[in-house]
Amino acid sequence: MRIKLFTGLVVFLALLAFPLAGAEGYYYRTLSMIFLWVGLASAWNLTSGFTGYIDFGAVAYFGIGNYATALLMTKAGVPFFPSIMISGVLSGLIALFIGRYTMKLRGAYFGIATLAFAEAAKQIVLEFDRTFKVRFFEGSDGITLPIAHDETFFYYTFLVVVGLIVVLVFTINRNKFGYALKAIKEAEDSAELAGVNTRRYKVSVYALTAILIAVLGGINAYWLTYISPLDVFSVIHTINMIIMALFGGTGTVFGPVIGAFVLSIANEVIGSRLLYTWLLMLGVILLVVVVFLPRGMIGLVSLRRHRR
Amino acid sequence: MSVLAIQDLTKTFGALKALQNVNFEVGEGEILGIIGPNGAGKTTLFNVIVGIYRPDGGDVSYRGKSIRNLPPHKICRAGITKTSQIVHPFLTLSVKENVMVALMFGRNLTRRESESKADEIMEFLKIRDVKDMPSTSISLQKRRRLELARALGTGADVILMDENLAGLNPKELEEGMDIIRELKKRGKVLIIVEHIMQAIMGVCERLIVLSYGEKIAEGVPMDVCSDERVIRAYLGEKVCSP
Repeated sequence: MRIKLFTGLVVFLALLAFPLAGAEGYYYRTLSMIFLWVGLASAWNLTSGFTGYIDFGAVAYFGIGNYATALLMTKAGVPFFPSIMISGVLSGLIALFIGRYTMKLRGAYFGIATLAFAEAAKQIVLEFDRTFKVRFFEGSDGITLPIAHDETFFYYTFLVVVGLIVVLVFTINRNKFGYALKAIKEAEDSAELAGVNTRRYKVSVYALTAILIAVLGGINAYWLTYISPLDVFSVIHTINMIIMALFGGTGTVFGPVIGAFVLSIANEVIGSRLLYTWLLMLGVILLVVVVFLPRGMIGLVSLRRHRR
Repeated sequence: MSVLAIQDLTKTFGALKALQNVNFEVGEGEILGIIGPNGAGKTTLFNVIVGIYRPDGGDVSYRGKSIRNLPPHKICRAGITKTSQIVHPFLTLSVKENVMVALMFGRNLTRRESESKADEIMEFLKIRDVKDMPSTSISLQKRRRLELARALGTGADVILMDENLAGLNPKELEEGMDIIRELKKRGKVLIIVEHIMQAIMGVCERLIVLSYGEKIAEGVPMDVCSDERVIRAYLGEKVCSP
């Protein structure tokens, strides 16, 4: 445990010092993108990896974060940092409401309900203005945000926020809250019989995930300066979170971090040159991981330890 | 005053009446046995008491207060839990962590407080030697002990044991019965569903017999097992002579 924490700290400090080396903008953008995915995969893992409730609609909260921040900044003139915090709170409240109903469902039914919720959220943002003859979400035109900061600003914002998310997951993994989540994943009825208020813990962690994803969405909106419903509510984002977490190892602290890191870099290096070959490779890699390493890449490490 | 009182309890699944107007009470420090053929409603009765199923009629009260509409975790914290016939441990957690979950949430302890308490309980149930093993890789006997350890961990003073002694060898069975007697000494109220008559006769002070969802007999073990209706519905032959 110490070693993992120490490694994490070294990586974090190295990344903190990275801009001092005076690299080009490309590296900042690529690393910022990697941080974003590390954050999204970790946040998704907190609900789906720890409780086993596989959320197929996590992108809804990413979209909500993007749009809430964009609207607050452009229409209400709220500064950036308060905007992303308000977006997080708003997203958490929506998740409390949605989670109350979806978290009663088990297995595939939960997945279908969340997927439907995300698609519905996309349609609402897309069609609201046309339906009610107003100008609010701006429909498929999207929203353009002010350009104000250079790449290092986003690099540091993502680094700090994602660092905090990983620390949060690390803490939860070891505390009472985390045990409730794991007990729910393994045997929900037994958890109830042991005194765990399963519904409260499920809805709480679902809302917490929604807050984290929305904050990342808010930063994303300001970073990209242009957002549209089809982009930020795209189901491909959810799929990426799932793939990265599965690849690294769900239900662990560092699995999704490793998964997001490795797959983002591979996507950047191989995907940008050989798009179709890369997608094919990704499919094969995933099959191999799911069949032979059901616990993900992180399973390799603990496997070795058990053999010793 | 009775610790647990069941009044006119009824539970139906569609057209099937799993429980029909069942009545009984359990007093302080008592060990009550429930016997009956398969499908008589024994497990359903347990599930209704601990809140997994909602009853369709009647009431369950614990120390004078109705608990019939509470969810299982609230009933557990009030003081009633059960061990399941089909064991469902938290598989990826270690044996010790399984017990810790019950301590943390049943008794509202912190993680640290639960660690030392878990050691005590595992020591008592003789499963401390496997405390760091994942609960997937321990024997059936130890898994059943783990069910009991979790129930004790919650701090509940009424424990419903659903065939916790099934599938054990004679020596393990004897140990299991000793543990039940020791739990009684520690002030626990136990309700035991079991098919092994040796165990039922050995530890229970009173028996009730269920058949097709109805209570057909109640009394001290010797009387109950020589009752004609009980012999016809369940025992098939005289297993004990008065």
